[in-house]
Amino acid sequence: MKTHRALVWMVPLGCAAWLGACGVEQPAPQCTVGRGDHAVRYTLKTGTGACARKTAEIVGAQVFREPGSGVPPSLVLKPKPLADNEGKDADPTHSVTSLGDFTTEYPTQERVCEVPEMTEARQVVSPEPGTTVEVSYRWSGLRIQGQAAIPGTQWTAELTYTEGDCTATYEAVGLFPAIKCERQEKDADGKTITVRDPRICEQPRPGLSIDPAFPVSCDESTNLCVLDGQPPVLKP
Amino acid sequence: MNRRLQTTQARVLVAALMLGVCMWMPPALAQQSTSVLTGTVVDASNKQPVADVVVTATSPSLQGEQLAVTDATGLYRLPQLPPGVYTLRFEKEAFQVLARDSITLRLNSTVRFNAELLPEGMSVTVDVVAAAPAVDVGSTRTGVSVDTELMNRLAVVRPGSKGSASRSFESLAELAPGANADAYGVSIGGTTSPENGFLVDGLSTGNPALGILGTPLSAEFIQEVNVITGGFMPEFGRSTGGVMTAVTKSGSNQLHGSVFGNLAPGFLEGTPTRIAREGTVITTRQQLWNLGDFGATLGGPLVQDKLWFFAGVAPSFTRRVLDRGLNAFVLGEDGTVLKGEDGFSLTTPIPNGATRYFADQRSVQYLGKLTWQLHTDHSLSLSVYGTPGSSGGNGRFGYNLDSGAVEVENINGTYEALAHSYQQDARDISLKLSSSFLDKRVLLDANVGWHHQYDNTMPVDGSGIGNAAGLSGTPQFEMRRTGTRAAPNYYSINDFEQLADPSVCDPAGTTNAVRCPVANYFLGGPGFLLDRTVNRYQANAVGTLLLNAMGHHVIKAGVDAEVMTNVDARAYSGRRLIQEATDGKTFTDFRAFGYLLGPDQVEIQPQVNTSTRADAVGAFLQDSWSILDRVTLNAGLRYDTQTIYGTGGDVAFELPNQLSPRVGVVYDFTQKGRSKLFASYARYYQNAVLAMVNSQFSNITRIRATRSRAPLGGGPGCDPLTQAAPYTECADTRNIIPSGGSTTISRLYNQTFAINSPVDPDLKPQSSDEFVVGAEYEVIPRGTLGASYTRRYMNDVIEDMSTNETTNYFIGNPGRGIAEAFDKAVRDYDAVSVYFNKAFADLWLVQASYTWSYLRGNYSGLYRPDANQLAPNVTSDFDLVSMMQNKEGPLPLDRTHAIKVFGAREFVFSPTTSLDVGLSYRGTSGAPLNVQGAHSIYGVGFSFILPRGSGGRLPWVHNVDAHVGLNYKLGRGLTGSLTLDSFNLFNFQAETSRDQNYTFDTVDALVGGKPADLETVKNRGGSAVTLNPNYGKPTSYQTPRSIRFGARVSF
Repeated sequence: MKTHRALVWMVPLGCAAWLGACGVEQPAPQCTVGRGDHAVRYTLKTGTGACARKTAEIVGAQVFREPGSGVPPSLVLKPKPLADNEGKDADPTHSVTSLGDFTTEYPTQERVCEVPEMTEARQVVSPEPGTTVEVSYRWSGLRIQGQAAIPGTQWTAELTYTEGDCTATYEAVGLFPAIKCERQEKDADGKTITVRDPRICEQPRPGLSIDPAFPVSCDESTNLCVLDGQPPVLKP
Repeated sequence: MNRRLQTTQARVLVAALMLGVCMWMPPALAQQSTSVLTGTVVDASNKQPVADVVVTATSPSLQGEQLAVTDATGLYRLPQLPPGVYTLRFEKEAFQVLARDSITLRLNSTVRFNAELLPEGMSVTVDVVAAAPAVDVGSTRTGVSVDTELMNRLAVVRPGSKGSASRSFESLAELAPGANADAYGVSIGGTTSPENGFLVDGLSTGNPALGILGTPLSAEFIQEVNVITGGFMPEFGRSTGGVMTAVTKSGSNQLHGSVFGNLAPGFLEGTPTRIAREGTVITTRQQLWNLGDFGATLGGPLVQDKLWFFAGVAPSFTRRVLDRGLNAFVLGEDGTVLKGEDGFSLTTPIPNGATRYFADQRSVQYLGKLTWQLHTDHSLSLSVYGTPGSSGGNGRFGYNLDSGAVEVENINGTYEALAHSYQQDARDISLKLSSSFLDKRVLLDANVGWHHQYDNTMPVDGSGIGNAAGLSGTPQFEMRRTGTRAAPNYYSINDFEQLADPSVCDPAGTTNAVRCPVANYFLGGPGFLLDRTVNRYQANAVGTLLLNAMGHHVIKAGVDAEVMTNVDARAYSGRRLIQEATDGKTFTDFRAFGYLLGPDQVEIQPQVNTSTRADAVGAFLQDSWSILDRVTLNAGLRYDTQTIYGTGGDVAFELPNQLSPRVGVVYDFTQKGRSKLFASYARYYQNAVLAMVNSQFSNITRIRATRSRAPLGGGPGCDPLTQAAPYTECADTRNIIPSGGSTTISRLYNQTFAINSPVDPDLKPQSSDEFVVGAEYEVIPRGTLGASYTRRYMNDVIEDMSTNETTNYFIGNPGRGIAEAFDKAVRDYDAVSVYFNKAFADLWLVQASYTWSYLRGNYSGLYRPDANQLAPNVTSDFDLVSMMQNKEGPLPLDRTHAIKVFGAREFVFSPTTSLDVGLSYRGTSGAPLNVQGAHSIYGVGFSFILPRGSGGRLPWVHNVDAHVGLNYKLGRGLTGSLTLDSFNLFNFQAETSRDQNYTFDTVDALVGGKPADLETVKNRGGSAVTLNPNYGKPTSYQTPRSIRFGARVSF
């Protein structure tokens, strides 16, 4: 009975003494993305032709911040098709990476971090002597989830992709880390062959693993483990 | 002593009845020196209450005397008394005077002494009870009270234990049943030492960063220590372990003082057992050289009956000797190493290879206290005490600040790389007000205090922290070239040191040394450096209301608040700690504070600064209700909340709404205070400490880079064996080997932990529940026999974890919320204790106990005894899901059987000469052992090949300590005494730890495996594992015998 009486006055007292302490949710983690390769799945929005055939690819990502400055961090993205030809474009004004600033250091109420605009990544390469192809990536409207267990591992964005004269827009859905749903196997002749195995996406592995709670599928054309549908935490 | 007294003469009138004495000891957070004497006085002829009886309390520990007058119900109260032995005198006209002496009032206790007064001229046959009952019938508390009687008559505080030179009061906790020493203090009831609460004069003196004891005050300045192991009331909060409350000595109306000295000389230390290990070229043998303290205390009146003082100072010192030897392996004719009978490789000492080092430590303890009796009902006391100290530097090694052990076990490197200079200072100031109102029916105790601690870990050359000059600017190199098993590639000692005769070993530059191979060697600077200041500002107030309503109530309500702060600078000397690859081809910046501002745009920080804070507010209400002197019901509730701020002032996380109900019931079936049956339930919450906030919420990020030993890309290469300090060539960016694939954005520098730790949005504070049931009976006067059963288990635990195998870490509760993928943290403790306590009286005392306990689960506590990792809430117990397998079983601090027997007897030879003899026996059964392998990510020791505890157990450890003290009254109030304490009298040498690494190969857990499965265990590569040659071999033995002499003159 004493206990009950005590409860009646103590809880409010404690709450009053420490305003905001009652029923509080812990602060969100700072905005970031997973450092390394992300598996990005594309859904075509507009465009036709060679530039409109992307399904999934690897994009390198890293966030940079000055610790303790309170300044929102910046994001750098590096798509694999450009990275693979890095150094082959002689024009110093072209960059294989895109750079953009986060709008805030901490996520919004919905636990989302945003990078509205990024610089263009551009590369001019010669697949064959005498021919040149100009490729460019322009990312915008990045929404990156900022939840505690898994910050910066799921995101969506708009991509305007240009290949020569062909321009397409995509909706991009990113997942970190990028893992291939394939494994090595010996065939009947003892030769090592690569076999597609969707189960790999869900298996934990040392170093980098996809969060087992994510809905993941194995992309048909690239054998990349990609997010199935919209990122669950970014669904409106 | 009970005796039946028959009076036949009409004038034999002195008699008294003691119908019931109730003592209860709700240990008060804010009432450390406010024990209470209370009771009712009735007329023996008609049992009616007697009003206006003058009750006088006197005691050697009391400043002046305390008076009270009984009210209309016959009730008197003498609150706010210091602990001690009291005499009560009851006087009223027309009644015979009644005096009762030897009433022992323990720290925090409320003793109820009910008296019957005989009218003048009345003569009766009565029972006279010569001693006050010894059973604490008002409390469910378990534990032990240690007063100066016990401290002075037993061998306590073993030389070599933590804080032993200054004879810190902490180790007195080991006297309690269910308490055992651990690496950082004393483990109580299966918990770890950082979980304990420490209160000195009512204020918390725990280290705000780590939770361990912050002010290791000398037992010399302590009046009484109360070790509470469980069953406590809501007055105590914020810790899931035990609580140690200590009261410092005070002055009184008589001038008292002492001069003392203690010395434990090293040459009397027993011979430690040599640890047989697979041979190493460098060995270090450590022994005590000497250890001691000396000092003086003085206490007395400044103004009689008004103002008193107490002051003490006690410098202490420790020196241990480290004998470093160099050995060469003995080769057979075929050039391979010969094996000895014990299966280990044979070695022979290298001539002139021995070097002697010392590890020195000095500290001073001081205490000053003023007590001012403002008014009969109000007193104010101010205490200031501190323990500044230093160790290491100037060619000496230092002592680890937290464990108190010598900083280095094996001197496998240069002095400059391995040694540090340490300074530390703890300082406490507390101001305490004790007031009583309404005829002492309402009490108020209020404290304000400041606990301040400073410590640093610095280079031995005085170059400080974060500087470019000297050792501060020199990186540390850990040389670890070993090659592989198939192709070993060891350095020779000649690569690192100049031998008198280099020809006894393989020459420098040997590809693979066989005569003098060195697997691990530290060069360069001192590595991690720290300069830290922590503070705790605290205030509390407790009101007590004593009232009668269907029995006696002691109702207490209190509020308290504290602010903890931590400001530190931390650095790696030379900005980085560099680790050699086992193939010797590359060096990695293994630890470096820094960050990237853009792709490979690096800033390596010479030092980083943290500034963190935690605010806590708590309140409690409790009632101790004694019904008919037979049943006492204790009930209460505590509320706590804590908010933790990271560096920069952002909230790191909050631990709100900690509601701790506590209930207990005590039944005295004798109704005379000589027995009790008791049961209690309590919930305890653990406050967060700042160490984890410093590391996880201070925007501290690290940079890694791998450097080529051979010149690369125009760079000079990195080779500490050919380059000189401060190794600027090694730091050249051109040496860095790029890594990663085409999509990697920063290929030279790898940045870890780019953000502060994410926190589970639904994080719950850490807590445990406890049930205690027991019984006590006074079998002989002042001697009680008791038995108790305790059960404790964890609710939520706070730890750092990664659900995606190190991709990122967060702070959460294992098994809940975002950490659902982890096993729930389990630490279950069951214990049965049987004990007998006889306080010092009739020239002897005994404390004996036997405890059977079982501690199991997967969570040890705020430090991880497997590797002595002191990392509250961020140990590596739960880091990865893949490390959860086989983790459940008997925990490292599990000791199934523990026997403790302490006895002392005083022999009086003449009115001036007496001899004290004290004997202690402590026996504990061995700790459980594991079978460990290397984990694929965390490495050696992190994979439990078999379920926890499958490696068997260590043997029993027996310990016999003896104390002899000769006391001689020198006249004029002077007493001289000479004492001799011998610890581990018989120099027993039981194993206290064993190498638990079955293999250094990467092995997956054999879930539910049996020892027989080890024969077929395979490593990750699919081949049979290579056995660690030291597996199962002892790594430490019991501390050898030590002898301490003491001398004291007191008046």
